[in-house]
Amino acid sequence: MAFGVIRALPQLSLEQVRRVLYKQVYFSGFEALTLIVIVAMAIGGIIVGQLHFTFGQSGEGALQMLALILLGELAPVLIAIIMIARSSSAMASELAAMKVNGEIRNLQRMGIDPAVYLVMPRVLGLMLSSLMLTIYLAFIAIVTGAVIVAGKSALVELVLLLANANVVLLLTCLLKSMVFGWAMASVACQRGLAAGSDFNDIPKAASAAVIRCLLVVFVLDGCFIAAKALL
Amino acid sequence: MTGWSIPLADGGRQALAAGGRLSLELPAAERETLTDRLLADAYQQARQYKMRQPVWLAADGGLISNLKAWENTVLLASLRDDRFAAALEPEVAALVALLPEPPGGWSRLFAATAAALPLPEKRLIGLLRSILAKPELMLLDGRLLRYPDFVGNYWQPLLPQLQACTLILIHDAGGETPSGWTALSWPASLPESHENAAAA
Repeated sequence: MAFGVIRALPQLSLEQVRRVLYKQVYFSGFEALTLIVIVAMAIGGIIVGQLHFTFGQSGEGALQMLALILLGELAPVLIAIIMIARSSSAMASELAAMKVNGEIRNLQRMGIDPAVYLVMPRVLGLMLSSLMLTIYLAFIAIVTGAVIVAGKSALVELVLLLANANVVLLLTCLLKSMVFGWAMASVACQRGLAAGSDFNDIPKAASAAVIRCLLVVFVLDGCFIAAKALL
Repeated sequence: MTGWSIPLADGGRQALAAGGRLSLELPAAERETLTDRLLADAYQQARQYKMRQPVWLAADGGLISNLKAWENTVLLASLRDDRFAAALEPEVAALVALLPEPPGGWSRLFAATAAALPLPEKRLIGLLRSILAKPELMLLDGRLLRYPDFVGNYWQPLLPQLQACTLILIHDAGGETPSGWTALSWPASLPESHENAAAA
């Protein structure tokens, strides 16, 4: 299923398929923004506060460590956990409900491939949302951290941080967030479409999707860490 | 082959006349499986002979519950013919002009989520969706024609839109065949196909 998305990509030229993609990005990405802003401010404030005020790290050093922690690990993993709780469970239960109500069969009987109409736009939507939210989270957390350690000189600290930016770290972070998004959506769709005809299968699919998505994200993160160690 | 054909149990095929009206009786226990088989065969033929893809009209309309009625209406035509939903508005307007206005008006109906619609309106949306797809072959659940409100309000006024379409009404054994429809049962009463006859 995960690789079927690539095969179905040309169908994005269809308006109805794009609508499903837009809805997915709206639900997973846009509607989650308020939560992400709050979490990002808390993360940035807590980490920089601890490093600067408790452990005596310099303002610039604390900010650099925050950026390293966020881009290296925390931002994509935290976004993945939030998205698993918000979107993967919802996606699995939505598809399971469609399966239980016979709507998947109806689509197939109309000659509409669920992989094209339901799965591909959802997987792509979650990938894009994961990418965007990771950028938002990292950006807002770093800005919050800069304001806490430097106050009115926050902009100077941010410019300094940008001048020393590690491009490889940044690109790895973005790649990781997209891979997590792809994996979460694929697992959620697979669990949802695997539901039977019993209404009890809907909560079971949601629960199974959450557990499996968490496992898959941690395994993939382990793979990224192992690859980084080997290279 | 230029017309539609349906499969026989022995693998032979029976060609259907364009615009024909068939009432196909299926064993109740195998109804769903055989319907899937008929449809799969029809899709394969559509691809093989470059004909328009068939449509299936379910007894409950077969709508996607989390889409709005309008989105359900244009879904099939939009996906198959890569048309924008807005471009289908005049066609839908022409179709609904033939029908009695529902309580609350058409805008209320099309703006509602499919899950919130009463069953007769779900069937109407299913029918509109099928007609908009401009099928050459349409399979429909025989139970639909047992609902007088559906037949009187929606089916009869819209049936002329399906003049060129072959219709296959699928119902359980023992169900009544409507007048004007040729009754068939699965598979014994299907006449031998041209291919079988030629082989014999």
